[in-house]
Amino acid sequence: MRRCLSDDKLVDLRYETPNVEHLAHLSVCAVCTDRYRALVDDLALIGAQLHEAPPLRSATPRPIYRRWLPVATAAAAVAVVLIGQAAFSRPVVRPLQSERVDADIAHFLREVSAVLDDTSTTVGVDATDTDFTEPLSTVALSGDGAGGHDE
Amino acid sequence: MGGAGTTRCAPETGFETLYREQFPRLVRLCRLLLDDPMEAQDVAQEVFMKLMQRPPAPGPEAAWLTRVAINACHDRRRSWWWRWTRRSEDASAMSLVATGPTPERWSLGGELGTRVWEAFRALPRRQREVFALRHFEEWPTAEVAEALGLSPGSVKQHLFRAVQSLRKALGDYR
Repeated sequence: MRRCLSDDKLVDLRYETPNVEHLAHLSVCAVCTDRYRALVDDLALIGAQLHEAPPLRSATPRPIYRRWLPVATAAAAVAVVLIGQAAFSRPVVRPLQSERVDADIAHFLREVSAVLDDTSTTVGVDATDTDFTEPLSTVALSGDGAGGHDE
Repeated sequence: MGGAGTTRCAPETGFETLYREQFPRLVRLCRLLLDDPMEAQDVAQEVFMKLMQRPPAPGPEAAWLTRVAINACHDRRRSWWWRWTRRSEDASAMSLVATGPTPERWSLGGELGTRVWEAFRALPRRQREVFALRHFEEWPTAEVAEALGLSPGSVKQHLFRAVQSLRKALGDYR
């Protein structure tokens, strides 16, 4: 083999099972021998350097707020969705139900008023008594109006 | 006299021996593949945890550990967390002002390690893996090809390109 070995052949010589022809050429070609030695030395140097801990990167790290921005945005979006969901899922009083409740209350209040204003059922109070000036409802609520007039 | 104050070490188990022998090697391999000493420690620990949980079939444990470590490094590099935390290394995120050593410092030759590491970091993932396994682990081409799912010819090509790039990084250092 007369031609000099290519670079990939030299790498093969270093890492693979040596080819007899290549070895024979290497033994007679000073140029290839030097190239091979240089390769082996370089690889030893590279290996030694990579054996050490890697140095810190020289690249400037991205500012922390830019790193967390996507997460913060996603968290805000989730919060908005949750709040919106909570707001819309709140139990709503339906108008019909509300009107019925209002009607019941009004009916109850009317009955209470009717009872309070009913003079015929008031015990011990003479409707014709001209001295009695207090409203009947006040007398009924205070509870002592009837007794006072009995004396 | 003698026996009262002394402590006797428990005999080392097979696992402990394997850990003591293989852990530094695995850390170094993972450091080459991940370029992060802390992550490399993590992955190496993870590999030994897997060894404890699911011991491999009897055979060469070192090869099994290496394979699992390579896969673990793959998984780590593929995870969204890894990509996200390392996005700052994109060219677009780099500062326009160089913070690395100046050309004068380069020429003075005090940064050979940095130069080699930067070249190694710049290698494509496959080239890094092939170089690490062929050069440091001294695995034969066929095994590397099998472990990485490549053809032997492809492994040789990756190795050659990696060697060329790394030698170029040495520049006038030789």
